[in-house]
Amino acid sequence: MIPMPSVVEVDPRKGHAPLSPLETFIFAIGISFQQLTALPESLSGWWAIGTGSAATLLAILAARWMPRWGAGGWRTRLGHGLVVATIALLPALGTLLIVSLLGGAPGPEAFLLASTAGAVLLLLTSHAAAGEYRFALAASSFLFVLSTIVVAHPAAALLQTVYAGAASCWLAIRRESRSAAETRGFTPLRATLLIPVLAVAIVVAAGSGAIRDAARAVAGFMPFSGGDSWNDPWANDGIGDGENLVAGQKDASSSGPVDSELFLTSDRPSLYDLWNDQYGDPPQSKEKQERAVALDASEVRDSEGKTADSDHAGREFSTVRSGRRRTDKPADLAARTLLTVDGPTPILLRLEAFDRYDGRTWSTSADPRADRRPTIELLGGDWIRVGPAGAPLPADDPEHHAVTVGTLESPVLPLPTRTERMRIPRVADPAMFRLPAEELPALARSTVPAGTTVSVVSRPEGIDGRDPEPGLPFAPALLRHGETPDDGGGEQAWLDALLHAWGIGTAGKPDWRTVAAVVARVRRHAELDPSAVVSPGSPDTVEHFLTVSRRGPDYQFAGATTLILRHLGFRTRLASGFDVSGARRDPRSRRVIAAAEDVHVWAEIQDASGRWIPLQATPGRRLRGSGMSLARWLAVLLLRIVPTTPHSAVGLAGVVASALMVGALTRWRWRRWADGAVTALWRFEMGRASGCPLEATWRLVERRAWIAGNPRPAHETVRRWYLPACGPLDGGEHAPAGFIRAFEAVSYGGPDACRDRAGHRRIALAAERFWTLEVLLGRVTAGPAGKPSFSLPFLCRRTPT
Amino acid sequence: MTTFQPAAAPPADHAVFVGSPPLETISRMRRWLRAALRGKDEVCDLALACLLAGGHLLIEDAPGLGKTTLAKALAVLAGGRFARVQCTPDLLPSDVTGFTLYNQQSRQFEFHAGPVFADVLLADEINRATPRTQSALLEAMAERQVTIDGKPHPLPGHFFVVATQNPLEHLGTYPLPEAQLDRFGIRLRIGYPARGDEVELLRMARSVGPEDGHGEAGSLPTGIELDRLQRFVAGVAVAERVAAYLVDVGRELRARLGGDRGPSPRGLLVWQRVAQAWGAIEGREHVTPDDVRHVAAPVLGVRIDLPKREFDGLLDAALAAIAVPVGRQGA
Repeated sequence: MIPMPSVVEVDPRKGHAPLSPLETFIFAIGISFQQLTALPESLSGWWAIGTGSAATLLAILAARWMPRWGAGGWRTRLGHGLVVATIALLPALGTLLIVSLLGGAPGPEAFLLASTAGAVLLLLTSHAAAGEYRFALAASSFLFVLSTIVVAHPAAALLQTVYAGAASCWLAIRRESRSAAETRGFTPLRATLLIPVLAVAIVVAAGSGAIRDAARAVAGFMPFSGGDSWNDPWANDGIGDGENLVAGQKDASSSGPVDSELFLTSDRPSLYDLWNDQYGDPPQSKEKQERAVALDASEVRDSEGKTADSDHAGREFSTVRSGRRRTDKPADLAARTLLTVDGPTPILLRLEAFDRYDGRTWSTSADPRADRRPTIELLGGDWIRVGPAGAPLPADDPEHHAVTVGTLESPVLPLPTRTERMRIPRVADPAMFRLPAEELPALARSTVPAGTTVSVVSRPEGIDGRDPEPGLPFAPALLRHGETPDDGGGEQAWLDALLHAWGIGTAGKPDWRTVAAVVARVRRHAELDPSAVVSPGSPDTVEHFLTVSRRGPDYQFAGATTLILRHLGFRTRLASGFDVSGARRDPRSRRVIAAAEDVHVWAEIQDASGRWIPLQATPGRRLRGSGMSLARWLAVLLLRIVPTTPHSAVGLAGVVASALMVGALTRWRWRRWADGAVTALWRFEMGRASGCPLEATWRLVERRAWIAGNPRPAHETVRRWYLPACGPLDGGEHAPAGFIRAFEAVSYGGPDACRDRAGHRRIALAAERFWTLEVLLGRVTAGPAGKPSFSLPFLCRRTPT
Repeated sequence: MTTFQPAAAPPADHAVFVGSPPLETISRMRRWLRAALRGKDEVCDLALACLLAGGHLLIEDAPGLGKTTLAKALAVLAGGRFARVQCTPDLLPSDVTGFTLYNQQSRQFEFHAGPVFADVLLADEINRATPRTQSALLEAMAERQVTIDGKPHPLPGHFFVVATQNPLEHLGTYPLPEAQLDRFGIRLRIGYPARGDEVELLRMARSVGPEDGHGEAGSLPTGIELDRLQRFVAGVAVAERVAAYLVDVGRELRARLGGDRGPSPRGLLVWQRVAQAWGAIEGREHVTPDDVRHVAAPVLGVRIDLPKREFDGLLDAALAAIAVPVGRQGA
């Protein structure tokens, strides 16, 4: 049991604050938390409670028996100092002792926490004043918050619950006592009344059960910046004319020797055509080549019945290819816009998925003709759930995209990875959809018509090997691959040897860090070479890629990642579609164009909730939401202070406290605070007589865009990045247009362009009111009343209509 | 086939451009030209920029999209004689430049000027002429003079060539050499008009003639002092940092093309001048990086011989690699 020392009576005449039993109790739990962080997982958590309580009791007894600082001779003071130092060093010494006896390697965080606990004991022992006791209480709270992330023992959850209750009661008593001192006749609460309260709290905590890895779940709810140009200078750049290109397409692109339901039925390119264009044609059997003879129209009518091998076009992916074609055709007028995307980029749009591999070809295990009818769940307002049935929709801030089909011929809806729900206006009949593979909804009978716009709500994060804490946004556990189709590879000794060389054992933990390590090693292991091909005689292209050539196009990296993780026991698959990087942005429609060059192949892994998570193993390519935002870095920093295990249990109170703290600091407040700071700086600059109001306001807009997560890339001009796409731009007096016009004159005109200070100040004030943080965040559409609303180029979080 | 047409006679009460400020004149020219070729505002603006920059214009597109209409409208704006040469494989250089003929009555050699002596020359389907005939245009386009029988003949002051070629047909054609392509200021593609513009075009054709599509464009512009406007465009301010930005993009293009290709210094000069003209068309007396970027594709497309798809990707990459100068102190 936790020892409950008697009240430490400190002489009020000496100015010492009395230490109540409740405060002593709180101190003891705080020290116990520190001990919990130092103990190996194999040791019982009761050891930590015992040692922590003992250290606290020792400090209190020392404080009771020793005189105050300065009293007595130098020998007394020296002895006093030695005792205090010894007690303060107890946590660190205890940590060292435990580690040296039981093995293991304490990280720097262990000594950080030991130092904090030592500081608490030091204050207890050294007759601290009331204010310093409060500091000690704050330090114990710090230990408590960290322990909510660290704890792995059920006793810790119990401790946290008790601590939360005790601290709440302490605060209540302090308040009631103060009220009693101010109000005559009021009887303060007594500490003994806390016992039933704590008992109820313990029962409630036990009844609710252990909330496993709640810290990870909370971290998954934290926001990320949303901008993609932070690391990618290609973001939001490019030219093209969007819908005009779509409207102008005229040439047939779909051709090939293999019959399919898409073949010769449309002049629009399918994903199969794009694979062949980008990676080269797969080898065709002689039988298929013979069928490739051009037919007259009359003969085509006779061959309406599909041949036996005609079902595989687009439903299998060969890793033996002839290599990338070199475009030597003259320029034509065919449209290049396969899709357009309105929303943050880069983003992966999935169109195909394969789960069976025979050493050369990826295919689907399901019968392509037996498409499963999905359980379409209507969410209201034509919204349809896309994810696994029963999986909860995200409660945090998801991303919104609108994908418009251009010239692409595909029955599958081009949806981002980790799509939660989608919406095609007035198409909400479950009978109109089918499900060729998991999370691959398709129209039941036809291809998606050109011009169809699908509004999507998704969380398109993934793992690309650079995230220090890759499991944050995802479910805590991974699925084992019990249902993965047999790859026919049998024992793959070369793969074991490769993993051993990489330092990743086949018996590694099934956690996200293992997945991230594999992705990172695959990225570094080989060189990206889009023109590299594998010999047609190679029995296993992945083995050849990993052990012999070590160079190849993106599908080799994806295939290698898929097989390695599958070998480790994870459920994985190969996916293909578009990696829309934002390199081509139509300046008029403000949409990102997906062209043939964006065709990409990547790996996917399934988490516990049934979601397929993208893995980006191709060098040079990145995924969104991989640890760039401030909130994410803070969360990772907290988790990095003390390593945690996937199955650690945390207390509900601790989770709520840490979530509130991190959320309050990173989600709602910091942007407001930063905006207030830059606005104050702008007002200061506007007040200076020597400054140019337009330049000061331009700097303000740039800073606000940075705060909003949508900074202007260095290669983008101010006009292209900030000027709304529509609206009364011709009028020079309109705020954004007038400001940019005047600012350009100041920037690029003659030296006299900044003389009209009064006029420029008026324009600058109007511009400051226009480009608010809300507008730059994309949360509102700006525009004067009665005028057309604006569409800024970086409106990433606009709700689809 | 060569045809000469004098510029339309100006009505006496429509000398609307005389003495007006340059930016206002350019703005009215812009509106007039846009009305002359409906639905192709961007093409009209770029063609006008080429005219104001003093460059020559190459139009690539299918027949019937308005190339001749645009050239005639430009001739009206230029305010001089308009000549058209329908290039064929049997077209001789003397058919373009002119020739000297012995007059038995006067017993003297007389010079008969060719269509190249017009103010605006439309060389239709120029890639159907033989390289010999094409090269006859070289001296005219670059030096603004032709030499016949060893005697130089200067061309009109603002000699302006509008050449067209059909990129979709390659049989029986002679692709223009790079040396000649570099003489052009910009290359344009007109493209098909939008549906609404075509409906409007048909409506206008019912009320006026099919070849007089700009009948509603308003009064014919007269009194345009093209020399004065071109001098004004040459004086449009280009900040040092904007010029450096233009050069950096050009050098980036050369680096990405291997160092031995890419825009020449003459190409950069033309690029800067067209950017100046574009700035003037936009109503400014200075050039912004947006102007440089806007005219980059038409100006460089004629100098970098790549398929359009590869050229677009190359230009995108080069523009994305160079930081845009912003503010008085730089980026």
